Amino acid sequence: MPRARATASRRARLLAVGAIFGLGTAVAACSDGHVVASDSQQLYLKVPSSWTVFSQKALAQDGAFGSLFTSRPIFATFASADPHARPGDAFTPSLYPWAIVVVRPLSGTEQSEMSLNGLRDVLMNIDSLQTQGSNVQPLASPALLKNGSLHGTLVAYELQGSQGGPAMAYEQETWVNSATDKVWVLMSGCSPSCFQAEGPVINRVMQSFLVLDRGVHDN
Amino acid sequence: MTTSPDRGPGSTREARWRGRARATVAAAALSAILAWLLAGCSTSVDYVGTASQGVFFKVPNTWDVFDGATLKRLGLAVAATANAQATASGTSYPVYVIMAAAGRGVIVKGSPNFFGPQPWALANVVSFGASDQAGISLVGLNDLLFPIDQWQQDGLSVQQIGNTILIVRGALRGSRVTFEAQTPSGTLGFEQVALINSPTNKAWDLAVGCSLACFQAHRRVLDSIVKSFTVTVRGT
Repeated sequence: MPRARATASRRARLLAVGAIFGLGTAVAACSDGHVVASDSQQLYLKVPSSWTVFSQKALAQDGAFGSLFTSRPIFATFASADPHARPGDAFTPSLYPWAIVVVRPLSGTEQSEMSLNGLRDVLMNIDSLQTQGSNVQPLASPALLKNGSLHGTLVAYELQGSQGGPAMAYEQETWVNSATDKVWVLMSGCSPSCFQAEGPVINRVMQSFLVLDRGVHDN
Repeated sequence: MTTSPDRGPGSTREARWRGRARATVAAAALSAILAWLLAGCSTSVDYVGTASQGVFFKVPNTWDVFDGATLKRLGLAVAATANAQATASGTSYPVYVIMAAAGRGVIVKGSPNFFGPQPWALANVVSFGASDQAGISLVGLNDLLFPIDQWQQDGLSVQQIGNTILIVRGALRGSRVTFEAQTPSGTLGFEQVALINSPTNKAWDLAVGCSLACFQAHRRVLDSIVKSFTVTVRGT
């Protein structure tokens, strides 16, 4: 009986997840925006329809984009409002807002040492940038996020490299599973003036981010 | 008429002896089975823990379990007023502490002696303040009871025995580790299992140990205590 109940409960959850995905896609189809979704990675995001979205395949073929990562993501997608957007524009103080979604495994060391604070460093290592002399300013207090077995943080920073140069502002939402071996990250940013002007758009993109993975695989 | 050697007076004695031996073996086997059956009915362990914090473990029923008042006297449990202050200031504090030991000799001059020859088991439920919540990691759980990291930085001999075992139970995550250390207070061997919830604001941990020689001698019992550690909350 308990097993039957568990199976029924699992089915109900799967149906709910399926329904959310279906509903999300249907709503997105009727509304203004590109839907970026991955069934295998259980994530969903919507960006304005005017943005250029680069598929995972296109990004895999782009050397500039690949060079941005030290460890290869399981999933990555990049979208930008720039009419001449290139995949390598991620993490730049562009005059147009951009958004990048990355799903990647955590190494053994990262797994044992990862804290909620550490989640901010999974795409861009703020800690080492600060050590190297970059000026890093938090734009908001970090917020703790939780969804079942997934937990995470929402942070916003403005940073300027140690050599001066243009500053960049961004917001980042990061989720990690219970086993602490996988992260789902959305980062959206641009130059500080753009970040301020395009705040509502960036906010909508951030709020559309959904990670539906249950975040659990018991051992 | 010839007498068969099997039926002679000597063989009768032998047969009687064999019969007695068989009866003794049968009686011994019966006693063993009976003892085993009775052992199944009786409890050789005590359950220790609390439903309110969803934490339990089993210790041999020959062990002493120390109540809350004793633990407060030993400085292991904190008064509710202190906890309220900790909550207000955003620092971590123990929500629940329970200790059991193989004898009262674990308390020396009004303090718990974790480095002595008597094995002990200590369970903690800790509520994390904002700073610990943001900074705690799976490796950080090693420091919940003893400052392993600090000991290593101070140059003390601290050795992890075996690999860290990662534990995932639904929304709870944690680890199981074993350490041996040479400290100024004496040698110490201990095994610890710790779990943390998804919001990362509460941890449940159980440590078992004693002096190194004691730890090695009582490893089986201590291991069974660690294996019995159960956290019943969902951790979401």
